[in-house]
Amino acid sequence: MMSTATNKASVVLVRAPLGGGKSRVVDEITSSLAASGRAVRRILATTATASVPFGAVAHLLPVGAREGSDALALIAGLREVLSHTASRRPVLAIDDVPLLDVATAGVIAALAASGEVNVIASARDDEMLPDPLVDVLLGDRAVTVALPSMTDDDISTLLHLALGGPVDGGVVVSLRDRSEGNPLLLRELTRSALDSGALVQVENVWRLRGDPTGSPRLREVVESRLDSVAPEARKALELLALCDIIDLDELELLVGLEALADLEEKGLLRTLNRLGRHCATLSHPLHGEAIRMALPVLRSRLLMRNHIAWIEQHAPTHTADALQRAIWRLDAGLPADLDSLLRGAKLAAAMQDSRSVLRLAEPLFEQRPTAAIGALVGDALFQIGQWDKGFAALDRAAQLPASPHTRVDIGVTRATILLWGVGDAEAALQTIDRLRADPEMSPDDVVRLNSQYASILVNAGLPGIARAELEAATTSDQIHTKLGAAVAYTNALAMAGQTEQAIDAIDQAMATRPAHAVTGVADVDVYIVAKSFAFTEAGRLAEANALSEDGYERAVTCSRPLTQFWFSLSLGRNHLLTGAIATSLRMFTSARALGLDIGLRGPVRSALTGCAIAHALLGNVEAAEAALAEREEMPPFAFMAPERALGDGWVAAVKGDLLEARRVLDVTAVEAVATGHISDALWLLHDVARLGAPEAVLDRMIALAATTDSAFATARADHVMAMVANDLNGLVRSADRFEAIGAHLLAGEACVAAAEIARVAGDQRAVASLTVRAERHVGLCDGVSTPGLVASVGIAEPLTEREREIAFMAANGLTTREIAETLFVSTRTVSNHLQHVFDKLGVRSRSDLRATLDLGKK
Amino acid sequence: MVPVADRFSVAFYQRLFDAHPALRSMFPADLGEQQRKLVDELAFIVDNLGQLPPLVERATDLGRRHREYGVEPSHYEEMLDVTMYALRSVLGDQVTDEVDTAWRLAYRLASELMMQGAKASSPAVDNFD
Repeated sequence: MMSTATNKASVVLVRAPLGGGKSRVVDEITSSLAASGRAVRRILATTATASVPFGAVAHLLPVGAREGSDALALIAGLREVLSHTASRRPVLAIDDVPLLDVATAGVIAALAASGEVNVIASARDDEMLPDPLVDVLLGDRAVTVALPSMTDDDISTLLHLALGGPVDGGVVVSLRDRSEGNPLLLRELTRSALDSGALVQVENVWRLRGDPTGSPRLREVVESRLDSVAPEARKALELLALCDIIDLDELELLVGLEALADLEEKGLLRTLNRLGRHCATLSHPLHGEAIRMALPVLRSRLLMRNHIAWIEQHAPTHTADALQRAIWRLDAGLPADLDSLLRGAKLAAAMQDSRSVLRLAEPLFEQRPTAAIGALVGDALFQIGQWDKGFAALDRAAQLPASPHTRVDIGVTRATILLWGVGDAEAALQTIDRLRADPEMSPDDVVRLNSQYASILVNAGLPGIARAELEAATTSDQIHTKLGAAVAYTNALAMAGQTEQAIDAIDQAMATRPAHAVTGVADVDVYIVAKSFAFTEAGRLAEANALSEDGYERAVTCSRPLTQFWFSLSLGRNHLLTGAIATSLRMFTSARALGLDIGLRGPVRSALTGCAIAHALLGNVEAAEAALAEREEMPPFAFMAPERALGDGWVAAVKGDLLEARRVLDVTAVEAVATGHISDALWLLHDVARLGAPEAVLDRMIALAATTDSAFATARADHVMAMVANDLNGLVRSADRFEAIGAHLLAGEACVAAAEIARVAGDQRAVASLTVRAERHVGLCDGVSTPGLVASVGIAEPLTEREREIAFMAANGLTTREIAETLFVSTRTVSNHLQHVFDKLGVRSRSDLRATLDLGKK
Repeated sequence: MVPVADRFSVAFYQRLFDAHPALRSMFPADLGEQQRKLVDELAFIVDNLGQLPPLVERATDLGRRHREYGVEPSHYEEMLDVTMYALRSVLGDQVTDEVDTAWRLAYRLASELMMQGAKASSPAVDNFD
């Protein structure tokens, strides 16, 4: 296992149930690596450090690192500490990785992703991995090792070695049955039996005296062992349960050396060296859990206060820095150093650890409200979806004196909540506008505000006027402004049909990002949604789908409903174009449910529109109308609004009112052009053509398509041109183009239209082959029905099953005799059928037949 | 055990090389010395099952040396099969379930200690914690 793991993968995740021995396995792996000369760094994640920014690695940071105000410098310093090496990549060994604090997880994720470190981590089966590390721990270069339970022989051998002598069979059976192969439980049961005297050595052989009583459930075994500890000595365990690692001097003062020695003897406590001092820790996290559960609140406060007093008197600063002390004091109900809390909150904000921000900044805001702190709190509340509380915090902050920079922070957060939470783009724009007009803004502030304004414009349905601002923002040297504008810029370009520029812009942003961001794969997904959109508009549907499917998978695996929502919408939309309408409906339906769940009611309008279109195409009129009705109950949402007219158009069409359908689409197309939604305009106009009025839209489509670089846009315009000119070859070319793009519904319609022209021209052969081809395309479209697929009378009479069979056999070169023998009929029967086939398909010979059917398969 | 000792060790090596011909070259051409050593070791294990320390010392030392010969942890499982096969071929139905279990556990104990000894002896390069 070890050699496989370290030779072929760069990340190993060891999983086991509670007590399954994963820490030990990690130890073994790291010892072996260390012995072969690799640099190994152990990081222990515990409950005490889990909610403190950089809690797990505080002891590795230089003194005072968490007291500076430069998060980037701290991160750089930490990266250096973790990744520096003489020769080969260092190995980071993280025990109990689900308890790793978000900030540290982010830095390690970045190091692992860039290949600067190898990672070995352990996690309990039932625990979730920290968000920033999910991709690293479950990705392509990672291998998961699930530990098996111990076998009976393993247990016997282990007991013999541990107890120092042979073990009677009865003991093995009893312990084996009750532990069910779980190493920790086995250990606890054995110790428990030793403690109580049930397990004794008789003439060199270990035997059980009497029935071992007590529960075989791990937690209960642990609890009963802890219960047997004297109350005085228990204090030591309690303090350890609260703080993980305690200086031995402090513990000795608390309970006396004898008690400590006794605890060590019982295997409840072990010693270690930390930063040059002798310390103690609990021997297993489970003991800590059990103790904490039984620890009354006031008692833990008392213990913490005594602990803090001791620390402040005896311990050098680097044992527990100002931030740790402030957090302890906060938890113990003592006045805490507010500056430390603020610095800690800013650190957490830099690492996007919103929960820590709130834990540290909310008390701060109570005690010493400032605008800057209010901005932090407001943003953190927004991040975790508590919009109302976020507004409240921002309102309070806005009433306090603030620097221009802080006022920008407050305003931007408020605008974001207005846009995404409330759906009021107007108010969002006004918020930013007021700030832009503020004479105290610095040039950098202004750039940032303009970029924000422009991004909101795109989301408010005005991508056209936003483009110039956004372009300027993407060349800014303020990284946050630059990256922040990238997604909106890409979207605006794609909407305008400048798809190559759009793809370039997002690629550049994605290339710049890694050097500056440290956490959040969710960040990357926002870029990927934009890139997928650009691909679609360019007519690269297969690539768009690949990106969105991957993203969707990731979002589901990592439980990120927000990105799952956007990827669902993306896939729904793409499949409206590929013609896989049933899939499209499924994705839109899923998006609707998710969106409602997470409170994105405005964007749910898009999901409902998609449902309506899909239902309409599938012929479910009622469902389509219901979707539109529900859409109107949602708050306004202007992002890509013109596209939503497709819902109204197709529902009208499927109800038979083609006139109204075309009117709605046409009117909206005009608005779309005015606001910079060129590709939407082309879609709307194309559908007007498909719904019966190609002449009305041709000129506009040609003009618009000429302004874009999208193959899709051009294909649409050319299709309409061929429709108007009754150009059979043009229609066939359109079918080819649509097929290349992957838009099968459109390809099918072009084939049907071409077949019509061929029929009128009397070209039976072409009619047949085009019909076959149309069927092939439409076959990929889940039984949809559009006007464009319904040709008027004159389609060649369809072949019967038997005729079809014989036709294909003949086309593949079988002689009449061979066909007859295969089908167990007479040659005369075969000849008759074949003649019917010739008649129906309008061919005169087998070679014609072959040509016709091959043509269809092109 | 003594009278059948020679037959056992012959059966053992025969079985070993049947199953893993490539290993033949790791051993000297004349197996006599080797066969006697094997029996001695097994006897030692049996004698010391009741007291662990001498067994620990001898087995860990043996394990370390085997590591130097290129023996991997996965080989120990295969060797168990060879051992039990040889035992049965020589003792026939004297190898009851009880005897089988006893030998198997004894083997596992010894091999566990050998594997411990085989782990490289330099201390972990661990600057943290």
